Amino acid sequence: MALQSSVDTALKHAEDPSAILVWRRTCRELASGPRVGVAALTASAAVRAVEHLSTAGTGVGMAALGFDPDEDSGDAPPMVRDALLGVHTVVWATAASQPLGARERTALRQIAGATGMERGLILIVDTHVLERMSDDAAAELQSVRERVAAQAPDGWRVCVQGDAELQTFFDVVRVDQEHLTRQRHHHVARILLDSAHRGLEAGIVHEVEQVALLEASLASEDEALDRAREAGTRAAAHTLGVLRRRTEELRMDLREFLREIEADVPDQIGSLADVETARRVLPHWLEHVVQGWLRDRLASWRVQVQADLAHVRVADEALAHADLLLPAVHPAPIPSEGRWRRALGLTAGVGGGLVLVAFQLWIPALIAASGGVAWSMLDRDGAGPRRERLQERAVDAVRQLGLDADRVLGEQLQRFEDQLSTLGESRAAKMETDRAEARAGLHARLRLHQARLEDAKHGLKRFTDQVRDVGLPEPQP
Amino acid sequence: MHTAPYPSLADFAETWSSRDAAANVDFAVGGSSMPALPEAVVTRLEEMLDTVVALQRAEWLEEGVYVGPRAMPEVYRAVMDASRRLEVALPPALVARVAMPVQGTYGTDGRAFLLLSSFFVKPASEGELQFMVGRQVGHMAAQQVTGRSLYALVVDHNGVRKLARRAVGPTLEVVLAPVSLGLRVALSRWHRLAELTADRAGLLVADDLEASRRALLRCALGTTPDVSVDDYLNGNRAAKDRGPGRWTELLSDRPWLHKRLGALSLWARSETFARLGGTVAEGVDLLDDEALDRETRALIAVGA
Repeated sequence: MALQSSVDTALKHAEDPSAILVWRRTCRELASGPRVGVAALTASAAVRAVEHLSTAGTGVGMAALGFDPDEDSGDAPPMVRDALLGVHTVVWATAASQPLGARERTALRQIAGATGMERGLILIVDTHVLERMSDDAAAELQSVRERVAAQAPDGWRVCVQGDAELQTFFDVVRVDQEHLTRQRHHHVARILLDSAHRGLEAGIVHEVEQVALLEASLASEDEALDRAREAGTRAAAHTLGVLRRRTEELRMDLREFLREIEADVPDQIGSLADVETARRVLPHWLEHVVQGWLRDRLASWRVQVQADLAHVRVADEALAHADLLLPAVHPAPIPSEGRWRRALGLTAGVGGGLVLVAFQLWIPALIAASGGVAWSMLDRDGAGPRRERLQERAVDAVRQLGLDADRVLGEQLQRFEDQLSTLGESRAAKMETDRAEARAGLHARLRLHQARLEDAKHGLKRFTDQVRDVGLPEPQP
Repeated sequence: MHTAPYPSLADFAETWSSRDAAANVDFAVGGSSMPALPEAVVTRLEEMLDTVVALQRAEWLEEGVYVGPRAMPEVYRAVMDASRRLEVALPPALVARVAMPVQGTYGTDGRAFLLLSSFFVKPASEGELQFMVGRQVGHMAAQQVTGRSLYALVVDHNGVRKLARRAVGPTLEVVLAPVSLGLRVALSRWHRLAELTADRAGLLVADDLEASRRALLRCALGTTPDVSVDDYLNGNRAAKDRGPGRWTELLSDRPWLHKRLGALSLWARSETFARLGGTVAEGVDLLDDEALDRETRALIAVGA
């Protein structure tokens, strides 16, 4: 019982439920009394042999087994092997007319290999056929018996149906039942424990392989992320280099163009007879000219940048950042000369005069009003000085316009740098997001298999300890 | 670098007119163009507005900031995106501590800048920010900036009446009141249509109807409301109210919010919106220009 429960526990540690079932069934069958497996090439022959033995009153339980061996596999069929576990010994029934042919000998070898039994019995049956075929049936049967004995495996006895020796064989089985049962227990336990051990080790090998496979998959994911990051950084560097160079060229061209405008503005103002018209129209003219130039130059800038980036084979994603917007550069309106001073003079003079009138101070009021008017009149300049001052202010406006445009273009370039500085990371992040589910799945499977591997190792250790308690030699890998 | 020839100042002065620059954009609501004024008047107006707005901008800048790649880069990116989308030269934009309704495009059509509220920008989602910046740039694209600044000066800031009262005396109010009322009624109607035009531009830029509606709701309520747009509309009794309060819209500078939300939804399922690259919901019957105009007008009519 100790062996039975210990093996049962060991198989539980191995988490092999089918082996546990086989073990329990085998123990139950072996404990139910002496059991003999009666095998033959065909099931019908086996059944006939069982019927014959039963009528002979052998006093043992019998199981009929049809066993046509598969010579290619080298092992007994699983069903036969399974049935042979729960018998104390085996009787092989061979026909007297065709005694122990090649297939039967193969079957006997496979039975010996599957059961590990040292003893068995070859029963020569259907002897009545010899009586019909031969004039001297007794001599022929003796000859058959000798041939079978010569070909029988070591330890196997040969009997003819009806022999008294047959009963002796079964008597020995009954007497040795306890010893045979112990032998069978050890043999079956050995088979099942070895199988469970192999299963445990195969499980560990499988989990180790799975863990290695998943770790390799995750490593390749990391490599892909690194590659995306590097590609993004490289594309960003190329794009930024092109943008910087082309934008700097644009800014230099703009400065040169504005210098030309600056030099041209005095002549342009001089070409208009009416200074007031020049003052009023000049900001709009500057805006028209500079915006038009910028629009054309930005168009050529885009063409140059696209061509440069296509040349270095930068991805579309980086190209999306390569666009400059037209800056809104508006020259400040140029105030008319003396306008504010005249307005202030008039307001102060007339306003002050009105206040003084309210207090009935007529003479001071008259003086204040006439003074304000005189102030405004005195401040009127001639056309010559006004034109010169307009030219000076126009030059200032052009310079300010250049500063504004340069600042806006510089800000856009700065924004390119900010966007492109994260291109590598954003690519990697996008890829990580796209692959997040797959990566999470890989991580989960890796954790699962790592846990299973640990469980398997732990199970193998408990199993080995239990087998040691059984007293059987430790299973060999 | 070869320099292309440019027109001389003399030739330019003979041919230039501020009316030439008037924009005709596809997303403009009919009637949102300012009436053509004489050239001299426009020039004087713009000079005056430039001066006034420059002073106002200087004040905002005291505690505000121009956006750029290093200052509020997400706003700068939105401005760039909107400029690219609406094909407008990249304008300056500043963020200051102003109330959300003050956000807008200021200056003149020739010299415009965007003003955004830091209260709006900070918690705004990407779509909300794109909508808000897009609608401000839309004013530029539709050449409504001078008109808006004039409106802000005359109507919102009581510019004309205040100046007139100080200069001439309170008696003049008797004469000016009906005039200014008429002026205000006329300008307010134009301003309301201009706001719808800007809303359309904002949706074109954001291409996200829900974010655009949330942005409008945030601006109207002045905070980030804990209410969805649909819940707001369902609970908005004013939308169903037939009382006299609806006539106050006559002098309002913008359509009531529920009307703007409705007009935006109409725009989002119009053929023009789809033609301009907006994303329309699948399986929706698109409104042609005539139907869009008809339904929009019916929706935004004062008293409707």
